[in-house]
Amino acid sequence: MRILAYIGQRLALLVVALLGVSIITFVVTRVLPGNPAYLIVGIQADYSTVAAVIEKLGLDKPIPEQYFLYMKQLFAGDLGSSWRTGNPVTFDLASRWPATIELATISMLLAITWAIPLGLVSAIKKRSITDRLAKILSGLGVSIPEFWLATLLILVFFAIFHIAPAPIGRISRVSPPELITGMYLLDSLFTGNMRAFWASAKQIILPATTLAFVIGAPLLRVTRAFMNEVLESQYIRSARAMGIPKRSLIFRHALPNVLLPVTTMVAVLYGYLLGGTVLVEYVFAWPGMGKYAIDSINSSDYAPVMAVVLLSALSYLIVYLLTDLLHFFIDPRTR
Amino acid sequence: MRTKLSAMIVTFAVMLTFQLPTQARDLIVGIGGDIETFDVCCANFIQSHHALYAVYEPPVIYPTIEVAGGALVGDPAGVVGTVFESWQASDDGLAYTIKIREGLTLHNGTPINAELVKFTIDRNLNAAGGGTWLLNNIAFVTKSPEVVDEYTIRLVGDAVSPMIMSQFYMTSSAMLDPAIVKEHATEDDPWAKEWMARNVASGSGPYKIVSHIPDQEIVLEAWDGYLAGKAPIERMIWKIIPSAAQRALLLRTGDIDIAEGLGEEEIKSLEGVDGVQIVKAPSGTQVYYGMNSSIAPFDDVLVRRAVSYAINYDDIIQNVYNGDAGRLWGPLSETSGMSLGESAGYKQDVAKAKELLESSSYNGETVTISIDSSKADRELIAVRVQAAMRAIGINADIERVTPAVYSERKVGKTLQSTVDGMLAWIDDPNYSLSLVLQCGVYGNYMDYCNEEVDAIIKAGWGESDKDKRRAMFNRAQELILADAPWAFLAQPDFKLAMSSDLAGYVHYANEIPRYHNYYWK
Repeated sequence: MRILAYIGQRLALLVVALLGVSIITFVVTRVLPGNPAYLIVGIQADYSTVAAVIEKLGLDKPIPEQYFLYMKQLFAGDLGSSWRTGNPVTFDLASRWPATIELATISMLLAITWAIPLGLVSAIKKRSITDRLAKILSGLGVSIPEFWLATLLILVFFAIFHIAPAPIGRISRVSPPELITGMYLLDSLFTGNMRAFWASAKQIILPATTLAFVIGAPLLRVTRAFMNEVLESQYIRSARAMGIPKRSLIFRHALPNVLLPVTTMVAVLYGYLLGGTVLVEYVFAWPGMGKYAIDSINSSDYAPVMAVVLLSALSYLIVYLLTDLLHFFIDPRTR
Repeated sequence: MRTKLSAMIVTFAVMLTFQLPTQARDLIVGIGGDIETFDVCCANFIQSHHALYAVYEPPVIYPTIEVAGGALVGDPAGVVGTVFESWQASDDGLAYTIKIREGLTLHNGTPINAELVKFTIDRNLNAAGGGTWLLNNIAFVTKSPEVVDEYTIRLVGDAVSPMIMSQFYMTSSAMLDPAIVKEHATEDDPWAKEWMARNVASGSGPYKIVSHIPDQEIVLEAWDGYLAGKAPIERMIWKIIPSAAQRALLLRTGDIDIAEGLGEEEIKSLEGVDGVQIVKAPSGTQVYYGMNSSIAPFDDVLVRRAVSYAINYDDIIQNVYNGDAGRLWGPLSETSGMSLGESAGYKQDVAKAKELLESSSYNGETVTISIDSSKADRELIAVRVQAAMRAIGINADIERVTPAVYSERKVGKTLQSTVDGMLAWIDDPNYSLSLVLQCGVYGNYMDYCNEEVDAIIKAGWGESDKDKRRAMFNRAQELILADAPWAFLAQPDFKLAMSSDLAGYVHYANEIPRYHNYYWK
């Protein structure tokens, strides 16, 4: 029952946080210069057309009234329409968010696969070759800009060695699988469309590798630092003195304590990825939320900006909630 | 104004004669952004016009001619009919009787007749957008056309306009299916703008849209019933690739066949690459440094002239455009055939610039050069203008702003100065001057006003005598050059990078390709 009360409390806080985010984003987008009406009407227009568009968009009303109307619309499940794409925002997000989730999830899994084991081994085997390699990789990962790495990978694996496919979005030369979740890898598996699966898998390898390398670096550093700290702690030294085998020492006594900060770090990074990764999406022509958000910001396309910010905030908050729940099971002290 | 029937017959015959058999190889086109609307009334982004010309057919076209250098261009001398077979102006030039070609249909088989054309024009008159603006302000048409018989309409303007027929070449005039539009109309949206933005109301152009995955790709297939015969290339796939550098790379590797919208740097990187050709054509694009006539220090004509003399124009042409640009000598493009050219334009003369500045009211304040952050070449030009101004004693800051902020401030006429460009989609002095340099008009971002220029623009609409018109606009150019609201910088060539296997590109004044012209060599 305690856990249910805890979840209820966190969900209530989540709603409050989202309300706060919505107010800040709404006010900031409206207060900053850049009225979209001028872009909407184009050059072949006159001032009366601009005035009509401003009125149609409701931008002539006071900001509190605009916000109230927006929230009313939001609670009715309507995120508004994008003037730039001509579509309801829900329609736009329906194709873009799964693309972002797919890329974020694969990248996160890849990052976890390489960064956490390497971080652990490097902490256990200090000053070994693995440790030095980990230091080099984590240093490179935090210092290399992701767009640069993305371009480099494209040049090497696509342009020079022709191993990777052309960086043209989520699928190439094969029709997308039948839409179920919007995530091509899953949809092609669900429908047994293996041609689409391999075509999508090939397309996602380079962008996911880019992101996995960049976000893997801080994960590696955190894993290594906390494993170091734990291995040097009093209780581990006592356990070692008591003759507990190394394997048991690491996996049974040290690792559970390292998992707490590491899972928190994973949550932070995953939340960041779910908000969209603009530069990688841009370079790989990946039709995700990041590019959609930036295009919308540049055009003062308010409805998509609001929706993307709210969705990103929601993603972060849900990932944090799930992480805290995970800690509930991992760490007895939190129960 | 005479009937252009013979020219139209020749063009139409040529279109049919050179009809190539359908070719199976797909054409892969890399474009920078998705289509924001399929509604012909309301497209603002260039890629939308690309799609609209592919799926919808406007009733007239500029006939293809070959110019020096071998480029194929739409002849700016005048349009010929496609859907329209012929037209005849009344003696007073106000009314046009337009004959519609018989036997044409939309993609869904709906016959194109007088009622359908009338509906298309009615929608343009009422569904506010570019089409409404063109009809009201360029063609001076505000009344619905009259149906004379099944294939004839009569269009009456409120005033004489030399561009009444040429404005029909815009996508906004494309043929639509009235039944489909009416079916999706609502009380709040009587012209079904919302539905039309996301759907095609049965096309009339050379291609049909087969699929569209937002921000990813659009697949189009040639339509058998196209009025000029089925397009040679059976299928096109437009890939949305936001990065210009990636579009260039993919063209180099052969993964795409056309890379649209490349900047100077990408074009340069592709020159001489095996399998890639750079198609060049003279363009009407005018790049200028605008100085706001209402904001100090540019409210003083001597300051504006001083800046015009200070700029190193050759440096911009050679180092920003790699030599692939002509000098813009005045407010009319060289491609318009009406420019005064070198004889009247400003040339760099720093001593004269300093002299003018000394005798001006300039008191040493720092000026701001605002630029749109989404335009790659603007900053390269702005730093050169900044350097030129510093050389004569004017300090300038460069301010980069997002497109939305830039548009708001530009239209509000609050930019002190800016590097900008314009492309008149109808290369006519009346059209271009009335758009950007007439007192008080929406597009006159630098708030320039000269009543004599205004009088010439006004009189120009009704003047059909070419020599008189030329004399009038020569005078207008002299006045504008003396007032120097802009420093007229350059007229960069249009450049398109494509596979060397591809041929048939025709350059039109609005720089939007008509995809049915392409074929594989």
